[in-house]
Amino acid sequence: MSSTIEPEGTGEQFTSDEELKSLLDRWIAPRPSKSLDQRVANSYHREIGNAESVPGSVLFPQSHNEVVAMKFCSTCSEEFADKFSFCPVDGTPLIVPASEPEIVVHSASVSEPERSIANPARMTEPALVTGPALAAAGSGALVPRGEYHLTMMDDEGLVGRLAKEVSDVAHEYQLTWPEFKRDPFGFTKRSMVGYGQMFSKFLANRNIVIALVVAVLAMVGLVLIVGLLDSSSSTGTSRVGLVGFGLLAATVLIAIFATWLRKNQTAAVLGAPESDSNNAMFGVIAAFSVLLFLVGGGVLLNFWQQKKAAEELIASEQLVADQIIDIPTEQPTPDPGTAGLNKGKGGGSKPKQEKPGGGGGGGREDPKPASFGKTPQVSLTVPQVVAPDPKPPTIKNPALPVAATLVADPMLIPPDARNLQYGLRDSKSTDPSSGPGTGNGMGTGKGGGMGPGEGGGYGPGRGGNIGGGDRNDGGGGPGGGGGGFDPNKIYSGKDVTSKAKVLSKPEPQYTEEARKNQITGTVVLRAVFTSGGQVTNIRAVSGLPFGLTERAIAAARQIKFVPATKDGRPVPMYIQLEYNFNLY
Amino acid sequence: MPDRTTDELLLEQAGAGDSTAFLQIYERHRDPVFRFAYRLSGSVELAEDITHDSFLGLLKKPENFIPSRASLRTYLFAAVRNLWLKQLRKFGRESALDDLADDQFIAVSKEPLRTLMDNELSLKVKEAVSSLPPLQRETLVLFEYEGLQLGEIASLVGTDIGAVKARLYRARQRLRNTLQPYLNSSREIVTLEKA
Repeated sequence: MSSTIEPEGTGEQFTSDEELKSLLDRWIAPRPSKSLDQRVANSYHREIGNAESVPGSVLFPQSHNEVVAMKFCSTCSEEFADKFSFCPVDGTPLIVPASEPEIVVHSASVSEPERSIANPARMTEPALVTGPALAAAGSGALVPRGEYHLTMMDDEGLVGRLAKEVSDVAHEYQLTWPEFKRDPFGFTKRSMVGYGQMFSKFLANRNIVIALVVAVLAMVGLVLIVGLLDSSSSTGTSRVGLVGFGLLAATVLIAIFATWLRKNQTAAVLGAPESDSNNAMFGVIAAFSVLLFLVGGGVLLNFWQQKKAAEELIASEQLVADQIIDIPTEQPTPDPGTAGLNKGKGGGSKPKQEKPGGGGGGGREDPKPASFGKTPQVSLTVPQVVAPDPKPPTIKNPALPVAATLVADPMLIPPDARNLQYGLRDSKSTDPSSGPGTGNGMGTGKGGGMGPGEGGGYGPGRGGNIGGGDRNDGGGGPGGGGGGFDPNKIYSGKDVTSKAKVLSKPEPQYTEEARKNQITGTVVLRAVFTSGGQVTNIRAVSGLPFGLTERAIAAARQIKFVPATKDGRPVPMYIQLEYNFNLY
Repeated sequence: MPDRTTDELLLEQAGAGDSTAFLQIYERHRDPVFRFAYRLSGSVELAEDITHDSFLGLLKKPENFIPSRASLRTYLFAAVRNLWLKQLRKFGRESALDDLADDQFIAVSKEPLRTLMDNELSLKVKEAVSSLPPLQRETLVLFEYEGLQLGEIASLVGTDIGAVKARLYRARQRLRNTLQPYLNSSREIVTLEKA
């Protein structure tokens, strides 16, 4: 005993700990069940009457009993060992010959099926016995039991029976082992022939063949359906269609079964008497329905779990949104009539809507493809003096610097303020190169422009400007889409090459009001992480009262991040933010 | 113990085959015996089995009960205790009966007190008591729940009063640790902190 133990008080009365005691009193013990009274009363009778030993309980196992209790079958008037609950001959529930009237504690109506099953000896006692009925039991008459008749020859457990079977098989092999050793080949051959005959005899039954074929077909069908479902998992509509088709097919199958097997065949297949044909058929249909229900449930569960897992993923990663749910609808679809790089649906500087055309191209006969970069300033009025070049100028700090330009409508190609070398917007190459074209521009074309065309413009086409085909100065305002890359397109997480990486995210503060009102929960925000590093377009998907949503938005604005990139370019990206507000 | 002679008398009559006498004994002691068995084992089924077997033991070997030594209730409690210990050994749930690991407390959940329902508290107390080492547990149950005197407990568990006190002290310490968040004094601290 360690020295730290210092029991308080030395007298007979130990200091009572009222506080702890009152807490301990919260544990209220249940009352013993009525069945205990019955059990004790029965045991008392067996003990005193000495008719029989005590029924086994957890603490006094059956093996301790010295007297072998016998049970009596009322149908065949035979006695059987105590381990039997039912007559091995006719399946009648066995009874223990009662020695004297039972005594009953409190109210005698006791129903306790679980215990009866757990203890075979007690099972013989009538489950529902009242005072008068006990007198009948005392005179040895069979007390009427419930409706069900369970025919079980032995109440050994499943494991026990399995072990017995296995030991039987082992014994058989022990017996056949000498035979096998004497003549291994002959024995194997004889066994094969014997088993083969057994199998062919088994197959000779027409119904069995039908059943086997149906089973195999069903399995193949199931496997096919599962495979199809799996392969179509990416496309939602075809999946729904497939499930619908599966349901339809199953219904048709049931209908075929119902009509085809009507003529007493179902019963024959199932080995039931012909009179039971209808029941058998309903059984088959019910089995099919259950199977269908299970498979459908499984598919639905799988679907639901996948959805839930996706949601959980979002929740677990607060900021680096791996799963952006959808691209919002406000993103304009490119108008096929326009061909610029700017945002808008117009075609150029002219007042009336008109489709632009033209293009340009060039190159300095570099073997490498033209590199990625920004477009130079464009103008339709200022003629091109210097063509864009991805390499830094050879003359450092020139006295009269001349910027590179392109001949194109500024409405279609917005000024590009990024700190980059000149280059093609959609190029994947980062190695400074003007491309294999000719005429000092960049790309694969001819002239001072950029792209595969001819002239001083951008993109395929001829004579300058942008839009393809022959040059045409379009009209109707700024234009975008159609032709090339749109710098203002906002991407979703799955469309970018690398996602935005959060560098710092300040935690939102609780408002005093919210704290007083014990508001907890999650604020979900939708925002755009722009290519320039700002958090814009913040919208609350779900909010909380008392200024918490506003606090979350304020915190979101202060997020520092590295913009997402697509093909090496920083691009804006939609992101979902979740702020958990918890009070501890 | 005013019932002692009566218990004795009834037991004699019950031994002679008077079932009403036995029932009287049984009804008189059933609840405390069952309660004790339940608080020790923590399971209603096991408690019923133990109760059944302790009364049966009384019938099988009535000579074991010596009225001059202890009351019938103490005798039955001792029977319950023995049966329970037997059960523990049989299933090997506890490697050692005495306190080996004083530091292994149940993890205390830091749930706010207001969310606790009464039955949860009851469950916590049950868990805490069940987690005590067997000897501490029985001492605590006998003292706190069944209200036995220290001397009675000592004779029942077969040890001296000093050991009983030590076990009780340790059991209380441990319970105080385990049930810290639910005790009145600490509850006040918690509410103060929240305010």
